[in-house]
Amino acid sequence: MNGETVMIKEKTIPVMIKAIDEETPQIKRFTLAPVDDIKLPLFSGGSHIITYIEVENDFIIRPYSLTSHPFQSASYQIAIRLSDTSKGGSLFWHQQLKIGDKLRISYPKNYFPLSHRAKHHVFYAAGIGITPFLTMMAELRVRGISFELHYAAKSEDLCAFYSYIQENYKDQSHFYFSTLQSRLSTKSLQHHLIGTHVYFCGPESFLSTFSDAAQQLGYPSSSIHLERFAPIQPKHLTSFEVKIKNGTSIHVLKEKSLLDALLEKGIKASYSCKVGRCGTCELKVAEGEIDHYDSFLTEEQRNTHKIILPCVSRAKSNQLILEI
Amino acid sequence: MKVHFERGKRKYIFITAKDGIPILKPIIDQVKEEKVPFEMLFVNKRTEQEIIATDIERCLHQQKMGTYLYVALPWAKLRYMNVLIEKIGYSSEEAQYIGYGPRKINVFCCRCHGITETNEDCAEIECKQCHLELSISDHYSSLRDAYLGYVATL
Amino acid sequence: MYSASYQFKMVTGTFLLDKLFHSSPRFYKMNIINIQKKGVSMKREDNIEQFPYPFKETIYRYSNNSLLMEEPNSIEVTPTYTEEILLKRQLLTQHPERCFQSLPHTTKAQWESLELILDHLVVYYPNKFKLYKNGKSWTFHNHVLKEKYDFILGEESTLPQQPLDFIGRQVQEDLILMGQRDGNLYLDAGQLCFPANWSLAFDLGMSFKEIHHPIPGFKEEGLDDRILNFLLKLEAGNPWERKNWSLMAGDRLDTSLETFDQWGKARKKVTSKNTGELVHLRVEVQKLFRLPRSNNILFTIHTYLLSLEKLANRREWLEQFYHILKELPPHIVDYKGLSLFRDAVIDYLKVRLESGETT
Repeated sequence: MNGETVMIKEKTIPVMIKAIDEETPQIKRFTLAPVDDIKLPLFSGGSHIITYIEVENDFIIRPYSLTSHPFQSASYQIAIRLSDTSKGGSLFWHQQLKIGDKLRISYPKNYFPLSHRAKHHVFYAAGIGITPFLTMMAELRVRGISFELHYAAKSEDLCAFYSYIQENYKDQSHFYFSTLQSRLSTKSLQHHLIGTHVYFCGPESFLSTFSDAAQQLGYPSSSIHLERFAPIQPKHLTSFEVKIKNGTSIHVLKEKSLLDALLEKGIKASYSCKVGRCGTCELKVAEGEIDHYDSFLTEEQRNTHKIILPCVSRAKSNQLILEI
Repeated sequence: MKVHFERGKRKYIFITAKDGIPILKPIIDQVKEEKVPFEMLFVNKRTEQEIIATDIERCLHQQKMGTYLYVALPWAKLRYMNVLIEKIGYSSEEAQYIGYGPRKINVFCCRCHGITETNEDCAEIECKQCHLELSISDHYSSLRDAYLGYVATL
Repeated sequence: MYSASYQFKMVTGTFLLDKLFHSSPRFYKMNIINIQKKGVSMKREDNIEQFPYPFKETIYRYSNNSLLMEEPNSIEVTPTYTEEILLKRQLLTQHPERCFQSLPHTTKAQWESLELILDHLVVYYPNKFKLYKNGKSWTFHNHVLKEKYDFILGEESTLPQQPLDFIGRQVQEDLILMGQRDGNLYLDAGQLCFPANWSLAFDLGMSFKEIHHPIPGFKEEGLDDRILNFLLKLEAGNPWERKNWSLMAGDRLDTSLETFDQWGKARKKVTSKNTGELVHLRVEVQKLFRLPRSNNILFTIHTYLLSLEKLANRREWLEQFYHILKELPPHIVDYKGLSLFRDAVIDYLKVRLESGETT
C-alpha cells in the first residue's frame, strides 16, 4: 500500500482462493482458506463477510453472505452471482480471480440473525437470495429447531444449491420454478402458526411484496426479517463548503473529514470513535443534502438530511449549513 | 391500566373473567365494528389453574400468525397467564395484558436476595429473611418477578 | 473486609489454591496458606503511571465514549494481579450466588469467552501464561500463580467451574456476557466481584434498558437507545473500549450492592483532614468484544483506584477534575453516590490547586 487515500478501516483476515465451483452459469461458489496456519472464526447463521481485493492502488470492496457451515473453521464459502448491472465487483470475481489468488476478508458480521424466540422459521428466497439461508438452516439443524424453505428460481438448472438442498433439507424445502409455471405466492404467509418468524431475501421487489403482505396479515414487525448489509466506505471524495450559525464558512478539503475541519477551526465538536459508529459527534443540519457513510443512524434519520455524523459523512450538495 | 386498540390484525382473542369485561368492552366493540373475527375465552373463578391452562392453551396453540390477544384478569392470575402465553409463542407485540383488583408485589432484598411479599403501594418493608429495612424501588426484574429493595437507612 | 496488610506466602502445587478455597473459607483465614508479595505497595491502589484517567473535557455528561481498540486485548495483567485474583477467588468461594450467575443455555457462549480470553493471555503475556492444545485436550499453565489445568474443550465436567467462572478466576477483570436476541441485549451470565454498587443476582436476565433503568438522565435524548444500537452493531474483530468513573470513600474493591450497608458508611466518614487519603477515583475500563459464533457480546471490566491525594499531584488532572466536579449536575452527583462528600472533595481539590503542592 503506497500512500493512497483508500485504507481498510477494520481488522481483516488474509485468505486465498482454494476452489471455484459453478453452481449455475451465472453463479460461482468460491472457497476461501486462511493464508496462515490459523482457524477461521466460527459464526452464526445469516452472517456475511466484506471482501477486499487489492487492484492497482485501490480495493474492490463487496459484502457476500457466507454459505459454508457456520460451525467449521477450515474454510469459508461464498456464492456470487454475475450481475447484469455489475459495477465491476461480481465481474472481477467471475472473470479475473483464479485459484491461489489472495485477498482479505473482514471477520464475520451478522445483520441478519435468526430469531431466538421463534418456534418455527420460514425462509423465502428468490434467486441468489438463498445464500444467507444456507447457514441459518445449518445452525437450526444443529439446534434441532424446525424450519421450512420456499425457494423461487427460473428452473432447476438455474437454481443454485439445488442438489445440496435436496440432499440435506429435502423434507423442509419447496421449490418454485417459473419456467414450470410454479410461482411462489404471498398466500403462503396465511398458513403459518403463531410463533413463526419469516425471513425474506432476494430482489427489492420480492422483499417489499412479501413484507407488505406479512404486515397486512397482522404479523408483528419483529417477526419479519429482511437481509440488510452494512454500508460500504466511500471511494471518490470531493471538497465542500460548510456554514455554521455565526456565519463562518469552512472549506472542507477532500482528504479531510468534516469533523477534523471543524476541530481545526477551533470549534468544540464532540467526538469519540471517529469511524461513524458511536454517534457521539452527531450534529444537526439546517440545509443541504448529505452523503451518509456512518453505521449508526437509522434509515429514517438519514432520509431527513437533518442529522449528520461529521467524522465520516460528507455533503452531497455543494454546501451544508450546520446548526452549531 | 390503559388498553389500546391494535389495528390491522387478522383475528382477536379476548381472555378474561367476569370483572374484566367492562375493561375490554371498548375494544370488543371496535373489533365488532371493523368486522374482524374474534373469540372470547373465559377464565372461570372456580376453575383450577391447570384446567384453564389446558383448554386455553390448546386454543392458543392453534392460532395463525396475525392473531392478537387481550388478557384482562385479576393480578394474581395475570402473571401465570403471561408466562403461559409467551411459552406458546406470542411475543409482547402480539398481546396486551391488563390487571385489575388488589395487587401483591415481591421485593428482592439487596443484601440477602430473599423475597418478601407485600402490597403494591408499600414504600418500605422489612426483609423477612435478614430483617434489613428496605426501601422499595421501581426497578423490576421479570426473571425474579420482584422489585429491588435498597437499604432504607445507612 | 479486605485489608492490604495481609502478608501471604505461596504454597506451590497444582490446584492447591482452588482446592483450599473450595473447602473452607475459615481455612483460608487461618493463614495456613501464605503468599509472598513482592514490591506491592501497602495501600490498595494502582500506580499513577498506568492509571486509566477517564476525562477528556472539562464537563462530564453521560455519553457513548467508546473508542476502537488498537490492540484487541480483552484483559490486562497489572502489578496487583496476584492480590486481586486471590481476593476474587475468596469472594467467589464465600459468596458464590452474589459473584457468579448464569442462565441455562449460555454454555456455548461461555466457552467462546473462555477461548477468547485464554488466547489473549498467552498472546499478550507469553511469559506468564501458556496453553498447549492436543486436539480438544488443552492444558493451561498460569505461571504467576503456579497452577496447571487440564481440560477438554467443550466438556464442562472437565473444568472445576462453569467456563466463564473458570476463566474469570485467571484474570483481574469482571466478566459480563450479554446475549443478543431479537434486536435486544440481555444479561445472560456474569462473574462480578468488584461491582460499582449493583447486583448481578438481581439484574440477571434483564435487557439493556431494564438494567439501566435506575440511572437518572440516561434516557434523555434517547441516549439509552443510541448506546443499545451501537452495541447491537458491534462487529467481531473490531473490539471497543470505554471508561466509567465514580468517586468512593475507601479503597475497597468489593463495593457490591449486597454489602452497601458495610462500605457505604465510609461516605459519612470523609472529613476535611482525610479527604485526600480516603476518597478515591474509581475507574472501570470496559472492553467490548463480539463473539461471532454465539453472536453475543463479552464485556470485560477492569477496576482501578487512585487516591485524590495522588491524583492531585498531576496538575492537568487536578484542574480538570476540579472543574468537572464543580459543574456536575445534581442528578449525576446523586447517582454516582457523591452527595455526602462532594463539598469536602471540592474544597480539598481547591486547596491543592491553590497551594501547588505535590505529596
